[in-house]
Amino acid sequence: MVTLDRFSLPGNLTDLDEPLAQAWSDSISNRLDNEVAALVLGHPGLQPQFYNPAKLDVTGSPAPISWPAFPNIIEINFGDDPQRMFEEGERRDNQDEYLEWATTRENGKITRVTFTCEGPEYWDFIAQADPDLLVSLYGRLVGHSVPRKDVLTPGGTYIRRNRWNMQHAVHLVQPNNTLSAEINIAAQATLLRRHDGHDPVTDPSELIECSRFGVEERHSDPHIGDIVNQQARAGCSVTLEDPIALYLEALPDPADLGIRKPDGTAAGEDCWRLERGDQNHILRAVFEVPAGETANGAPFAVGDMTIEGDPIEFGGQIVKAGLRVKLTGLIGKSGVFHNPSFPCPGLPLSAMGPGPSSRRA
Amino acid sequence: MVVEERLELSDIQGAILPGFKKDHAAIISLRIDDVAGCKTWLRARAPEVARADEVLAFNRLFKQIRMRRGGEALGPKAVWTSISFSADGLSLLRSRQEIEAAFEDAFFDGMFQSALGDPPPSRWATGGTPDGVPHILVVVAADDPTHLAAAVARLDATIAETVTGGKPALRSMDTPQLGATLTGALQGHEHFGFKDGISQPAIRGVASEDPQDFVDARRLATDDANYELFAEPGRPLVWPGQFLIGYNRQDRSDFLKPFTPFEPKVPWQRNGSYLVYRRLQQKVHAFWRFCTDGARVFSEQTGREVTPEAFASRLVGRWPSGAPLVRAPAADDPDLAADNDVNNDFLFSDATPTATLVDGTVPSSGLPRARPDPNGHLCPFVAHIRKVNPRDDPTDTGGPRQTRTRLTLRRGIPYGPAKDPARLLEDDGVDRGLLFMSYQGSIQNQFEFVVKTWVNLPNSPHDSDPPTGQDPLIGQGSAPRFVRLPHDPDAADEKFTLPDETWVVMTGGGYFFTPPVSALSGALAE
Ligand code: HEM
Repeated sequence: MVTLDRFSLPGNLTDLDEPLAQAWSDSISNRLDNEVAALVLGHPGLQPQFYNPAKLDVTGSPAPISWPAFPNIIEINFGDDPQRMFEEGERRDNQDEYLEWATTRENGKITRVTFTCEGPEYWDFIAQADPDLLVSLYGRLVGHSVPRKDVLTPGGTYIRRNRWNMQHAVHLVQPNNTLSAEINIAAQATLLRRHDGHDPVTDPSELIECSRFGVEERHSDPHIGDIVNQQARAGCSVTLEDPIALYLEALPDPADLGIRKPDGTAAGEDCWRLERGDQNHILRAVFEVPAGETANGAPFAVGDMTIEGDPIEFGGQIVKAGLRVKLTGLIGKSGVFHNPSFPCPGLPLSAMGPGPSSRRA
Repeated sequence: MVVEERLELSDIQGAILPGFKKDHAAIISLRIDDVAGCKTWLRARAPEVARADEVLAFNRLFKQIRMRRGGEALGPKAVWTSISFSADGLSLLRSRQEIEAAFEDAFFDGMFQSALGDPPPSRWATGGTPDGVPHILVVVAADDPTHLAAAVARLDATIAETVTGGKPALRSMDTPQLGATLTGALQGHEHFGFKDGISQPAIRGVASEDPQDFVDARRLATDDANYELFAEPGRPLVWPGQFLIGYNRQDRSDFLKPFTPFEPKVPWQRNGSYLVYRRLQQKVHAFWRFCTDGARVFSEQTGREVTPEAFASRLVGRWPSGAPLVRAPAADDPDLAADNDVNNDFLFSDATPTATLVDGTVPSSGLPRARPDPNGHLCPFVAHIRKVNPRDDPTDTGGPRQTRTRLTLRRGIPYGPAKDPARLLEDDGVDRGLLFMSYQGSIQNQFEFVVKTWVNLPNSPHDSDPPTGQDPLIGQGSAPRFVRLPHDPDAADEKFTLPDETWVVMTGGGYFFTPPVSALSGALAE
């Protein structure tokens, strides 16, 4: 393997020509450099295990990390009342597992659900570098032209939470759903920790509290941190695989999710449309009934279908039935690094319960 | 210190807790043709239903006598009965609206609508259509098959006698489904030949005013670091709401902390539990043919003799004796398997700390210790027991604390005659398998989550590139099935394609609710 020439656009998109594609690559490279610098600066004696693959030539094998996309926190808080759970799940600010969706209805009935994993940074970048492209991309995704003033302030600042994004799920807007967060967690998680007599800390909960990877009740961040740290403890190098982004793991066969048409037959895979990215790097997808399809002799919409016997009333039902988000790390050989552990940053932590022996689960 | 709730054992059916643990069982499926008649019948049956306090007292007595006399001896015998209801059954006795509002969607909609990857419900022998789902599921269990037969005959008579307007109020859907533990060398084993029923969660909770009167006895010394986390070495303590409605549940981020109970939406949900019943046919010859072929491939590649048993054990995660692979990676170890203080005491990712027992002794002296296996070299990630309970492994939903919320109480029993071990590879055409039953506080979050996610997905709970595969015993779905098994720590795993036809075939079942004893003569019979 050689060093990476340049970072591809998320999902191997081809939105950008030169020199913008190179500029995006540079911006990713800078982010990685900054993460490495932060690790080194804050931790004397550290040989950073996280690296920029455009700068260092390290052989790594891909390590996918995936998790269920329905927000765990919403499930914990509202799981006993599914109606409420799915209502809450429809709010973009609650969709914090790096997948957001927008549910389109006509006369109250769902006609389409749009899913996105695209980080806001890419769109910020386009807005700044090529506002015309931004407006035209919006037009393409929304299906009609979008007034410039809807997405850009008079001063040219990008409006992330513009109405078109909110209605059509153009990219992620939940404050924790960022590409920077993904990179930061991966980098920080390569630090070995010691705490309360445990050296290194191996318990995932203790690790999360210690390293502050994010909210423990999320599926995503603690899981990323846990997996990366496990590799770091084994002395491996860690980075993220190009193209660096978050992706829908797959577009599962609706039949496997228990989705049925009004005539009782299983819904087909043609309900899915991949809109951005490629098969292995799905950034955006739409779920809707293909035009012209009928059941019992009549046209029908998503809202006329059922999922495991229940009418589809929320986009989140499809998410909960089996959508997953993934990122892919690159993990080097084990035993290469022998880093010291570092104490937990910040204040003493809340009670952790019993220690490493508590990993008896 | 963790304060455990008192469980209302006199109101909880003994099938849920502590479980019948009998060698013989009959499952009787009933449809309700007349509601009033059914209620009369129910009121009369209520006193016959086994209560948790009775079954617990019996089990304690049985154990005590056995300990004193030493080994297997004629002791007390019992016949136990439980009664459970499907959503349709409850709807008839109460009202559809009430049941739909009070119970989980998965339960209300029924197993045949769930996306478990099952064969088309039209092919199930029972439970595949709304009309095919039993309204009432009666489980009778006994130590002695003649007692069982007598109890079933008596039950049949009560059904025949319950007549309104000249017509029977209840209808048996089929002859009773009989189950029996295997005998001889296969005592306690399932039909593929593996010891079953070893790993079971323990329930937090006390049986009386005495805060030390634990329903599940504690084997660990109070100063063992795991005293508050495990009832026995490797047997995790789980808050009761995971199995019984109305009690504190298990927190997803703290082993010790309770999570708020599910608030019963009708008062008679409290002390009840959801029952999953699946009649799983086992094609023993297909399983062992695959393992024989797999063993040959492994032997050729490694240049070492790999037996079909060794290969099969990698699919299960334990040897036929029950010895876990992480403690006995190279060969079966019957001594280890026979020792209940060690045969379930292991973690996967991390080193397993040494336990100290109540009497101050350390179990397993002389027996091999569990070795940490974070890379799945000793026990493949895809092995059945690592799929359905990844223990301390990191998982796609967060790890060991979350995993503890997924556990269920397994109450299965085999059906059909054991396969002739000399003709393992022949298809003898005999119907045999497992009457899988599990109890949980939520079908969706426990049974269904485990099956849909960990069992049926090739990259969950452990994710890797390439993925390690579906559960080789029970994984199913439309995607091609495979397992990747390690044979050498430094070499790539070997991929084995699993045949399209599974060797565990779902042939019928359903979701049921096992109500509190008081509801049988109360809310459901009013
Ligand atoms: C015919 C089908 C099945 C066979 C032959 C089978 C076999 C086994 C065996 C041999 C064990 C090891 C014994 C033990 O640890 O108790 C086991 C454990 C287990 N099985 Fe199955 N099983 C079957 C179906 C299922 C199903 C449908 C589920 C539900 C999802 C399930 C869940 C479990 C669980 C939770 C454990 C305990 C794992 C642990 O805590 O270590 N099994 N099974």
